[in-house]
Amino acid sequence: MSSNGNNGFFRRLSYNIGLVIIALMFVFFSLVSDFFLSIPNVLNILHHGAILGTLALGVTYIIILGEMDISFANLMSFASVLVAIFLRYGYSSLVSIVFATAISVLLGTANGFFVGYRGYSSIAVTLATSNLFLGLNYTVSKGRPIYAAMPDTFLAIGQNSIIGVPISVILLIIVSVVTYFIIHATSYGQKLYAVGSDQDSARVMGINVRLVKLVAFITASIYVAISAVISTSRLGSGQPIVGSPYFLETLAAVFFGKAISRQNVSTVIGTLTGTVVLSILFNGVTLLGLPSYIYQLVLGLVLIFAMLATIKRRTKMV
Amino acid sequence: MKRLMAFLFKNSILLIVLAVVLYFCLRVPGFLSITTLKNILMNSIAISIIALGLTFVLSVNKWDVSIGSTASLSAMTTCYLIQVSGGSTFLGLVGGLAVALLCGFLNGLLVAKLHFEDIVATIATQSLFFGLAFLYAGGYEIYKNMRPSFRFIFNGNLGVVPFVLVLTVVIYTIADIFFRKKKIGRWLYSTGNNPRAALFSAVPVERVIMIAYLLSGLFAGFAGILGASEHGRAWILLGQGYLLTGYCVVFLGISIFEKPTPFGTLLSAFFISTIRTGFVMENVIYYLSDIVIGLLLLGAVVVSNEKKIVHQNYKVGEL
Repeated sequence: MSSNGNNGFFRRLSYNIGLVIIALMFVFFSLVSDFFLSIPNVLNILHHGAILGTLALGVTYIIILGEMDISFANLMSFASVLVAIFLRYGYSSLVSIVFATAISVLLGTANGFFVGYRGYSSIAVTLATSNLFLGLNYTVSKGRPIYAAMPDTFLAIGQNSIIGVPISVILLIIVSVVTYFIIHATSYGQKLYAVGSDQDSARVMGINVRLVKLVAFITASIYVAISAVISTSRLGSGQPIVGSPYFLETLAAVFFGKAISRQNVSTVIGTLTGTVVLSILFNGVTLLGLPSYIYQLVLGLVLIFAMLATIKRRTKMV
Repeated sequence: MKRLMAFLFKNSILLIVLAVVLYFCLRVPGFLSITTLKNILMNSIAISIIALGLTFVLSVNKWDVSIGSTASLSAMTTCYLIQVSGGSTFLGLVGGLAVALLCGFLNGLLVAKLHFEDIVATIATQSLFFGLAFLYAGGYEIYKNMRPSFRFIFNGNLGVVPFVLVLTVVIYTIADIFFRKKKIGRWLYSTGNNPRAALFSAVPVERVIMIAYLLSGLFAGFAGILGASEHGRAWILLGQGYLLTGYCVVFLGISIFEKPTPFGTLLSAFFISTIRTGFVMENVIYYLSDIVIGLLLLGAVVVSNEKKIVHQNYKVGEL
């Protein structure tokens, strides 16, 4: 710790930059909008956060590995269309969800195979598969929304509440707890961090790097399917472009979490903090009646400033 | 036999592309004509300009995902300045290119000087530039006061040859000379292969990466301006499709020539444009070309990486 008290204070502040930003945004938005702290609005924030958070937690696995995924947004759109189509053909909610998840997992396995077992650059592979998923999606849906008479059990996932708490938020809490357990309390989570910091060393230590990468991409595709189910149920239809707005937001949430972490790695808490920050920001910009592109602008700025705030702790590139 | 198989695999993407082109030549009526050739060339220009910038960035082994937004922002700036100034094409061009350079400079600052991760930094700036592009007209198109001199940039002819075609050839020739004959070309490749080794060999690594991002921004902005000049208007989503096609073009070039080169990029831009034009003339549903371009990119990535593995004699990531 620095002997200079002032310096120490700012350093501690930069460790908790996420909480500081959340607090500042809460104060700012509750001052400028009367509606911000009302219960319906908080539920709105949580609804948005449920879909975003599930996606972001899935992508966290891949970012911890030091890889990148571009295809998750298009995969989410495709999964959403698939769920709606299975429901339209009269399958029960459970069967439709399982089928759509299975197909997502299959496509996620393709990503994981190319990245893990063939060692290709993950960003190039997922850029290519993201276009493939888009093409498949349009081939199946013809680019039109899929409407289906959805059973009440399915619609309940995104629209109903239990004692005032939306089911989607309960799902997010369950998913977060499970993810926290997997990443921070199992040997698989430790392997993720090991591969992410130095994969050659990890291999020498006896870690099956290929399998770790494959499993990470498969796990991420399950999370993507869950978020697709939540959003399909909330909208009541399968939308072929439902994922694309979440692309930037999800990556921003994950990288925000990475930027504010102490050791420059992704953590579950960091990702959730990023999700909360972005959900509040999205909601606040909407409440203020600002045009939606302002949100894009602010999102880019927040990401850059989060990285700037922690720049002292970064190691040099070369 | 083994050598033949290796040769076939090495050049498989090139062979597939040539086969598709041959198919179009034989099957599509009117494909083998000067008009079609001119169409193909004109369609390939914006994408070959933007892919040239990506060639620089990929040769230092970095990524720039903000090029689409840079193109939109710079096209919007150009058209806005022309509209406000009452038709001054020169002012618009200078303003648009200056904004494009600024975008590249910001990326370079974040990645080269502040050592941010390249993908994260450019995702952030992509969002930022996209938001900024909205500020001019709030999502509407800008189309007023466009003079013939502005339309000339893309649509004008020098004699019988389109002006922009000559410009592209000149830009590519200069880039090729810089890549092959000048010190900067060596610097780019050595930085891309191993930045640490390059630094110890007295290569100014940070400056090289900065130059790569500056050029990537400049060419992305110029491609955006060309798109605006072609249609005589600028709109927000102008640069949307550039990212994937641009990377597909550069990776196709890498799969042919084993490293990012201007000539490979130009050649594959021509191939991609031929395939696109062929699809349109065959009346194929539009989303099929998404699938085909995605598959081509995947194939190019597979071939270029497997080639590297054979070359290095060990598998990537394996000791």
